[in-house]
Amino acid sequence: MAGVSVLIGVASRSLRYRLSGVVLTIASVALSVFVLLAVEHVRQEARNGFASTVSGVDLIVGARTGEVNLLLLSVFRIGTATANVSWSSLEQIRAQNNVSWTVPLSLGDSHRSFRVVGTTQEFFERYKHGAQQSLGFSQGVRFDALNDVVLGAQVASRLGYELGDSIVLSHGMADTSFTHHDQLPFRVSGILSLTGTPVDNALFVALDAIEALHSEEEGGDRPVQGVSEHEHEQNNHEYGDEHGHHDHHDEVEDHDDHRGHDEHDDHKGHEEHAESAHSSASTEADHAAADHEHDHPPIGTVTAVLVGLNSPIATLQVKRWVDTFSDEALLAILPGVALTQLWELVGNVEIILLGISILVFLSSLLGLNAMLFASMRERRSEIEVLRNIGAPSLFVLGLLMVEALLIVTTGIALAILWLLLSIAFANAVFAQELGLMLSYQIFNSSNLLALALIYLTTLILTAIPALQAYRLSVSVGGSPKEN
Amino acid sequence: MTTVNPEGAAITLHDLRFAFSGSVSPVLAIPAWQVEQEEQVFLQGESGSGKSTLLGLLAGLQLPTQGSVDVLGTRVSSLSARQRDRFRAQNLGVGFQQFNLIPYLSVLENVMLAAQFGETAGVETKQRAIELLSRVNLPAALHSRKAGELSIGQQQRVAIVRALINKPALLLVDEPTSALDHNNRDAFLELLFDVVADLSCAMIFVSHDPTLGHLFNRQVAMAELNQFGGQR
Repeated sequence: MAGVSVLIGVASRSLRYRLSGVVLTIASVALSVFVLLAVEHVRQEARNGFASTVSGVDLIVGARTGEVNLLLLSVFRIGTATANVSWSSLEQIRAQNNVSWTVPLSLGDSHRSFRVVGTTQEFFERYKHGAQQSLGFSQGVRFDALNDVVLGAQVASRLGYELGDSIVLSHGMADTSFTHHDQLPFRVSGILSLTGTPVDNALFVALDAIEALHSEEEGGDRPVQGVSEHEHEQNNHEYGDEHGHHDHHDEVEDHDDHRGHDEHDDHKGHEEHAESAHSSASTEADHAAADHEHDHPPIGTVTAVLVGLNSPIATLQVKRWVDTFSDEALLAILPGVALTQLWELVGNVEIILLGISILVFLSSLLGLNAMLFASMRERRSEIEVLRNIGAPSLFVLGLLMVEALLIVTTGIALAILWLLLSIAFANAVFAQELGLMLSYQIFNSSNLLALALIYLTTLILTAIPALQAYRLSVSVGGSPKEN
Repeated sequence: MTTVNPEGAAITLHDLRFAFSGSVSPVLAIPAWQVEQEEQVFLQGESGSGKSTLLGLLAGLQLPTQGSVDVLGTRVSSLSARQRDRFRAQNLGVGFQQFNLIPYLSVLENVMLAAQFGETAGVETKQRAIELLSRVNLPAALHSRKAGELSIGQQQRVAIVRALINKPALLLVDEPTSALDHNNRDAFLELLFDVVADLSCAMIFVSHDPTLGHLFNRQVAMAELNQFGGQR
C-alpha cells in the first residue's frame, strides 16, 4: 500500500506544478480569512473596549433615573442630570458598612466643548479602566489648589495645552456659552495618559472649584474683587492646614498627595479625616460667602458617586440599600451590567460588523468552492491515470484533500500573520491618536468556529468532486466519447 | 489474495452483460470468450463498439451488470473495489491512448508510482525501471524530466514501461498508437512486441486501425464479439 509519504510527495509536486494558480488561490483564501478575522477582531475589541470603559468601581449612585441614563451621564458624560445627590446622602452612603470608598463626581461645566468633572483627588486612584488599569499621568500631578485642573490626554493634545497653561471654564455645555468664568482662570497641573475611555475627553478639577464657579455665577453681579476674596477665603478654610507650605509645594509637586493618604494606607480613614476637616472648616465659609448654600462643603450636591465596596458579595445588598434610600430618590447601578445594557442599545454597530463577518465568510467559502471545483475538473484525467495504475480510492481522495488542506492552511496562516502585523502597525501608528491598543488575542470561539467551518467545507467540497471523478472514471482510457 | 492459476486462461468471460446504470439497453453482451496465457490479441472495433468498456471490465474498473469476468484465474467481478484496485496494480499493465502520465511527476517517478501501488517499489525495481526506459530509447537524461515536457511518442513509451514495471501477466492497451505518426508507430510497436516477449505476458491491444492486425497472434473484431455491437 502506498504510504502517506508517497501521498505527500505527489501532493507537493502537484502543487508546485500548478504554482501560479496555487499562489493565487492561497492569496485569495488568505485575503478573505484576513478580512473575516479582522472584522471579527474589531467587533470583539469594540465590545471589550466598551465593557472595560470603567472597572474597579462596584456601584455608581445617582439621582433616580434610567440605569443607562446614569451610566451615560456618569461615565460617558453624555446628557444632563435631572437631579443631584445631596452631600448628606453621600455621607450616609459612605457610612455604610460595606462601602470602602466613594468618589463624588460633579458635572455640568465645560471647556471648549470638553466636559469638566469636579471630583476628589481619590478619583485618580479609584477610577480604573481595561483590566484594572489605573489612570496615569503623562505629565504633572493631580489637582491640589482650588484653581488646578487636570486634563484628559485628548483635551491636552487637541487644544494644545501644556503644564502650567492658564485656561477658563464655562458653565453649561455650549462652546459659545457667555457665562465664561473669566474671573477664575485655572492652571494645568497635570495631563493624564491616554486611556481610550471618556476620561481622555474630560477636564478634572476639585469639587470646591466647581462650587466656587457656581457660587460666583449665581452672584454674577459681584465685583471681581468680591469673588476673589470669596475664593481666597474658601481656599483658606479648606486647605488651611496646608496653606502655609502650599507655596513651596508647587515646585515639589510629587508631594502633593502627601496630605493624608500617602502616609495612611487606609483611604477611608483619610477620607473621613479630610471630610471632617472640611465640615468644620466650611461651616464658617458657608456663612461668610455662600449664604444660600445650606449643605456641607466642599459642594452642596454632586451628580453621581462612584462607590467601591469591601467585598463584591455586598454589591446587591448596598445597591438595594441605595435604591430604597428614603431621604432622596437614588439609584445605584452596577457598571458592568449597565455597560452591557448600553452596548445592547448601540449594538447595531455590532450587528453590522457581524453581518459583514458572515458575508465575508460566505464569500470566502464560495471563492474556495469555485477554485476547488475548477481544479477538480481539470484534474479528472489525472484521477483516471491514478485509477488505471491501481491507486486505491483513498489515495486519490487523500491526494486531493491534502492539497486543498495545504492551500487552506497556508492561506489561514498567512491571514493570521497579516492580521498580527496589522495590529502591530495599527498600535504603533494609531495608538497615540486614538488611545486604542488592539489586543493580539485574535482567537475567540466565533473565530475558531469560522475557521473550523472553513476546514469542514473544504473537506466536503473536495470530497464531492473527488468521489464524483472517481465514480466517473469508470470508463477506461479517458475517452468519454465511447460512453 | 490473488491466486494466479498457471494452467488457466488469461481471460475467461462468461455470459457477460454490461449496461450503464439508468440505461435499459446493454452496451456489451458477450456469451463466452477466452484468451490464453501469452496470447497477443488484436481487438479491432469502431468508436462505440464497446471495446473500451470491455477493457474497463477486464481491468476491474467497472463491474458487469450480469455474468462473470475471470482474469488470470481470479474472478475479478466478485472482488471488492479495494481488492480490484490491488489486483489491477499487481497483475495488470494498463496503457491508454491519452492522459497516460501524471504530468508533474518525472519520467522515473511516474514509473515508480505504479510500482508503489503494485508493492514492488525498491532499489531492484528502480534499477529495472531505468533498464526498461533505456530499452525503449529513453536515455537517462530524460528520466528526471517532467512527463508533461516529453513528446507524445516519448510519453507513450514511458506509459508502456510503467505498464510493465510490475511484471504483469496481462497487458491492456487502448489505442496507444493513435497519436503517433507512421514511423513512430512502427518503432513503438516493435519495441512493444520486444518487451512483451521478454516478459511473456498476454496482451489485449485495442485499435480501430485494422492495418495493424497482422502483427498479432489473433485478431478479433468487436462487432463479432459483442452481440449488441452490431445493432448500434
